[in-house]
Amino acid sequence: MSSNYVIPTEKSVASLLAMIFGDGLGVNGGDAADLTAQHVATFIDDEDKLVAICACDKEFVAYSGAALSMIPADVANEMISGNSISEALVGNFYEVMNICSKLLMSDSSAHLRLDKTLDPGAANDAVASLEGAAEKVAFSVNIPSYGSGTLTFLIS
Amino acid sequence: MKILVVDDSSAMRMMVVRTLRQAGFGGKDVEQAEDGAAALEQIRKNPPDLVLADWNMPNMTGIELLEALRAEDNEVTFGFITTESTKEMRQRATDAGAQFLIAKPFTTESFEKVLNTVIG
Repeated sequence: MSSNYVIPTEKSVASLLAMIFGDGLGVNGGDAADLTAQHVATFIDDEDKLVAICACDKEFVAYSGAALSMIPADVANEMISGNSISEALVGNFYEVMNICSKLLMSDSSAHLRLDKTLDPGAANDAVASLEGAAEKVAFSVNIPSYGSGTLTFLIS
Repeated sequence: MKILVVDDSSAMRMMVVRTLRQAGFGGKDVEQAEDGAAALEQIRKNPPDLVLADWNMPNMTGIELLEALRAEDNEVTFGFITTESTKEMRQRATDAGAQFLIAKPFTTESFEKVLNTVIG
């Protein structure tokens, strides 16, 4: 299947995220879990049509959001255990996803931009509209001094 | 020297301010605005010497802010700090009157390289 967008690789994800979170960052291939149970970032084209999503588990949301503001890992771990990620960390996750939009574009690809991030269960329609008709790649990301989480891209 | 940082993400504004400090611009007076509309009001009331703005923001985007400023004949030095860094978007920024564009994610070195030529 060919896409108008760039398909992220372990190398491109590591290269981009290391610029935010530091050189100790690790990226491996991951397994895509139930995406509807995850936090989901939606990406739209210049006609505002949904063209890609990035679904992330609560660990990635909490660790990336905490790391961006240098909030201690213990605070992120408490939110993960309590299954309740604060508004501030979800806001930071939005910015991480904004930066991750670069993973899907090049000078020769089509243009897209981050539209919004949705809480678990709120993106069922978006996931359903892309699943089965899109490229799917998943990664496990270890953020230095925080921990590991997963992100899964569906790209039309 | 007054710098206005415009971004809807408070974490990103904090990172920009921190990177300005690390790049040797810590002595500057840095103010913040959360979107283009708030920045436009702030600039009208209290003009900065340099605007560092995100591109995609609610209420008024960075490019809309720049166009509004230039329409008012405000020639403040204006640069984008944004993920919108494709060749096409850089050209659009230049055409609208931006002096530079720093791509996110940014580094201290990228700030030094660009800002030293703009504000020395």
